[in-house]
Amino acid sequence: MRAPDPMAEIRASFFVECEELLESLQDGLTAMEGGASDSETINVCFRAVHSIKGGAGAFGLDDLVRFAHRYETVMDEMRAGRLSADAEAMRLFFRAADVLFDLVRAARDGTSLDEADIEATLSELEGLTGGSPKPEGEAEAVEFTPMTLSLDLPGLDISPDEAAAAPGWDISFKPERELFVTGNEPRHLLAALSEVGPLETRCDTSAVPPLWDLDPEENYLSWSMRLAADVDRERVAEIFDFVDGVCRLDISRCSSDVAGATACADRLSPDPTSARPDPEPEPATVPIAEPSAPTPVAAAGQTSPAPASPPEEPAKPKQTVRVDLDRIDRMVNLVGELVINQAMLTQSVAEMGIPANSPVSHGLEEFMQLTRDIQDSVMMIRAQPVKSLFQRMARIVREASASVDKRVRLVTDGEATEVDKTVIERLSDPLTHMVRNAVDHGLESRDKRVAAGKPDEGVVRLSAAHRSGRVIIEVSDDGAGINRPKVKQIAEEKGLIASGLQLSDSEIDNLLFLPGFSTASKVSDLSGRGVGMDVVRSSIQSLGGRIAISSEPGRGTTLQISLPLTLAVLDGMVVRVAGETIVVPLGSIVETLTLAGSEIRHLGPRTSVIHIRDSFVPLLDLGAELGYRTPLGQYDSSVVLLIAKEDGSRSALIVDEIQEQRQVVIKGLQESYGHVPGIAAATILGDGQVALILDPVDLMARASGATRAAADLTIIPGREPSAEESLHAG
Amino acid sequence: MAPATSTERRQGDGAPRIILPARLDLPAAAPLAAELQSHADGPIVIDATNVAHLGTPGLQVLLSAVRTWWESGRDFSIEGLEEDAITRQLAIFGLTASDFQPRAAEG
Repeated sequence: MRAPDPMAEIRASFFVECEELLESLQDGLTAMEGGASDSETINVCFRAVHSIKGGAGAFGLDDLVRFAHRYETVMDEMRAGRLSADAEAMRLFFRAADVLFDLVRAARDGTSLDEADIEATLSELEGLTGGSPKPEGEAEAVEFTPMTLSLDLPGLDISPDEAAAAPGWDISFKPERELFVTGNEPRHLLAALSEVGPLETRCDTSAVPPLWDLDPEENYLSWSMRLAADVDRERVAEIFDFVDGVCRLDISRCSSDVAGATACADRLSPDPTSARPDPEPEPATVPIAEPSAPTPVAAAGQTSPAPASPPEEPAKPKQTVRVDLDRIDRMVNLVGELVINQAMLTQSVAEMGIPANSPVSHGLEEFMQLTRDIQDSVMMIRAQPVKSLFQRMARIVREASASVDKRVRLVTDGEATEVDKTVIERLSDPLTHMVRNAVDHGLESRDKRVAAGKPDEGVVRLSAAHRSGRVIIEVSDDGAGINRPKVKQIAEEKGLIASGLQLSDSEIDNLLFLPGFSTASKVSDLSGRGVGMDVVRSSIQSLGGRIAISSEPGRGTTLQISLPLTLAVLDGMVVRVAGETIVVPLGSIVETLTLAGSEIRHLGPRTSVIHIRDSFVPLLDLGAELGYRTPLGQYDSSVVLLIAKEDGSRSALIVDEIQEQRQVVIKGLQESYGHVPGIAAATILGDGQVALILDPVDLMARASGATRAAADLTIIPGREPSAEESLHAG
Repeated sequence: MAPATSTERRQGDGAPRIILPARLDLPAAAPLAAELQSHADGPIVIDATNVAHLGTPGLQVLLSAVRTWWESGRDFSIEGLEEDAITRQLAIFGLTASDFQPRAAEG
């Protein structure tokens, strides 16, 4: 299958590349901010910006080229040691990185940005060096101009050996077949190279066969080029980064040895004049400017101080393949089917009464193990570290803190934690809102902080971790904590709750998630964006996640999101209740037990709790809650699943029988049936039967409000909807 | 979907006139090669006036055609290479219109 438009593909891959480059730019800047002042760190940043510029040039993205050019020029000053990485410089570098990010996005999506903003950032940035750079962007941005300006600007930092080794590079480039197949196009590379400096290009067409021997997807051309620009090897090599491994590339230096000038030219083409016996009349078409400096090679004389070919190769980056997400999803689906199929097979084998120690059973066990391994591996393909997400949040913190004049430090933890790609993408909006809230509402103003004896710089902490098969992401601040009397008062004023209610702290905290709630007495331009915490909560819930809030006066507020690792499979416990088969997610089950009559206590006319190890847990009859039957009333020796929510609150679910523990493939119900209360999804069991997958937390929430009186509220600490519902009821 | 290559018959000697599509990229290369090959037994005129994007695969097909016709000694001409847009593109590859003259292809 070939993509219909290789150009679109290479363009898309450029933008993917940009994301990676922007990420390394952020990393570099963060390291610099943290005090890393070594030249390699600065180089990493410089190269990132420079590569974006190079690629953008190849696609004629002029705005991006112009900005990147001016940005890298200032960065170059730092590289040269003429500019120090003080706080102000770093702030501007970060801001410029943000603008660069926006420009990349704008170029990708075909939108445009406010010129004035960009210009303002640039002029502040250039104010660091006290001068505006050479107006190079214009000429450079033109893709087709082979005679581009050279980058060897007067201000450029040239290391002594490079300077001695001027003026350029011999490059020989022969694409391999795979270069086309991977959607690359030599033309863009050649064009990008010509932007680095005056370039003389010779194309060897001698290998092109007649039509009947021609394979249109094979490459028969090769190029030898001489680049007359004082740039380091890296700059030349990075242009070919895209095609690493799918071409033969040789980059060697032309020395400045005058005596060797002809030798260098010779190397380009054995006889440049005879190769073109019929010179074109139009001067514009004659390949690229002759280099002004004499050119040279070490082959003739040994006087050159620089080696003809620097031996050091850039470290090979980890090999990666870009794969269409659809393909992965198809594979995830297939593996899901495999899991179901394997379950069916296991069931058939069991039904045939084959003994457990038979070769069939052993083979089946191995098969199960393999299936699981495959499944894990497939899921790993989709998983990505949350780092990119966290970096975006760093920017939100910078912008938010600037607009409300607070000093905020973002501390991140667990950036390497991997989460399903879809989850990461869909987490961006809610997390942005949470981080903004933390800066805007969570942290106090500087004066108040100082008055409270805290450092005037606030801390927002962002952490990610895997915990019992879920991903936990926390946003916390070290602010004043939730002002509960005020929250309660506002909720009363807005009519969200009846006034005069007694609410627990956690119930008050959860009021923040009510639709229509906003604490900001003045709507700042930060948080007042018409998005409330209720929207945040529902977007988290749509990912199968939950959000919890906790707060300590004077110490800060923590929002905790808990998400499933994957949206495709689930470890579940298969139970029977009222003749139906139900799957309960294993992650939510704390323990299973058989009830003794003495453990059951009645609470009010309709509800009961059970007494487990010094605590009381509300009892829910699953059959009754799901509407399969009326409550049995008598639960002595019933089987109970103890279910826990993220915040630690528990309920006891009564089921008739526990059948087995197994992995099930999640088949969504949303599309066909919408949201079914208490039910997360469905699955197909080994015998082909459809079983519903329980959403225990949703069930707990609804159970306490719908089929039972509000009486157990005093025992279960705040569950958002239950608080809401009971409040309304009260 | 391969961009269409259209063919007209020239009035005088009946040489087919192949009009190249605007995008001569990888997907366009194979259909063009097949089209050209089907006319390899006679003279041919290729009209490159419309080419807005010339990619390496398309370029190779054209160079291959030059060679094919040169080897067979039949009439071959390619028009429109002197247009600015195309000259500039050829320059990126380090080529000029002269590289598409049969005699130059030999060297």
